[in-house]
This record gives sequence, C-alpha cells and structure tokens, in this order.
Amino acid sequence: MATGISNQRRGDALGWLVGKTVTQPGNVEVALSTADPGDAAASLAEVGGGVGYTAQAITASTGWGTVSASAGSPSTVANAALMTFGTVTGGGWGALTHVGLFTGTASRTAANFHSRYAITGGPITPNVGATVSIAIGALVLSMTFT
Amino acid sequence: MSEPTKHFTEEQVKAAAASGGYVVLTVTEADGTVNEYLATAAAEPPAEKED
Repeated sequence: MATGISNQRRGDALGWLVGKTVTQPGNVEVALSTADPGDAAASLAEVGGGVGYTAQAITASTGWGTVSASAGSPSTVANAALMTFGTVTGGGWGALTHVGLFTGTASRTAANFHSRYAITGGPITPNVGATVSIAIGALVLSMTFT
Repeated sequence: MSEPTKHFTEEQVKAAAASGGYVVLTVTEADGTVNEYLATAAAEPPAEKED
C-alpha cells in the first residue's frame, strides 16, 4: 500500500501497470502547507508570498537518484539535490503541518497533486530568520506491494 | 553551524520508508541551531465500521 499518494497518482500507477495511456508527471514541485491537503489537495494551505518562501522544483531528468527495486525491500527513490525554501521573513510561515508534492509547475490542482507527508509530532513554526530546507536524500518516495 | 537535533528516531524513519516514504525538513535558525523534523506519508483514515 502506498499511503500518501494522491487519488490521481494512484489511478495513474494502476493504469500504467495495465497498459493504459498515462501522462508522465514530469517535474515535481515541493510545497509546504499549514493544513492537511487531503487526497485531492482541496485543503492545501501553502505558505503565502512575501515571507521569503519559494516552493522547490525537482527536475525529472536530474533531480532524482536511482530507483531501487529489490526483493524484500520497498522500492524507493530520493531527491538528488538540496532544496532550500528560503529564509523566513515578515509575518512568518505559520505552523507547518504537511509537505505536498505536485507535478508540473505552480499549479495546485487535484490533477497535479502527487502526494503528501504529515509532520510527525505536531506542527512546526519556523522563527523569522530561520531557513527551511530538505537535504540531498531526505525526500524519499517508497512503494511496497504486500 | 551546530549538530542537528533530530526530533524523530531511526525506527520512525525505517517505518516510514516501508510505508509510502518520508521527508526530513531541516530548520536552521539564525543563530545556527539546526533542528530536523520527520514528515511521513499521511495515513488514510480507517474505514468506518458498519453495525
């Protein structure tokens, strides 16, 4: 089971497995949210503008490491470059609860929603002056079939 | 820059890697303090039981 994967991408994956025509997502954009986006990004509350925040793109061709696939282990792939969302300014970024992945560019529609990740232990509120980033290899997608 | 304080365990990371994946967010404060937080693939709510 692949929890966290959006409705759209679950359908795409199954369609691909059975030979349906599926549009490959292309680049991925990583967003920070102060609310759970849900399965279709309907309740996404991405950090707004003017506070030092920029969503981060992962380029399909170069932004990911090697996809692992071996018996007894989940198949995984991780980001291959540092992503820095920026330094918190102004009124701050609020209480972050989720990381959301979208395909394409800045579009935040259900059709472009890839997956979501909930911050464990409650929301985090970066202080003004703090920098928020994701290190190389610190964003890991995995898929397991049991 | 100081050594990061991890607000999660390696066991949590392993569990997350086996069930959808994870993201480690790094927050570096202006004074150089570094904190790391784990975000995991959001679990779907359990199905409601029927009477």
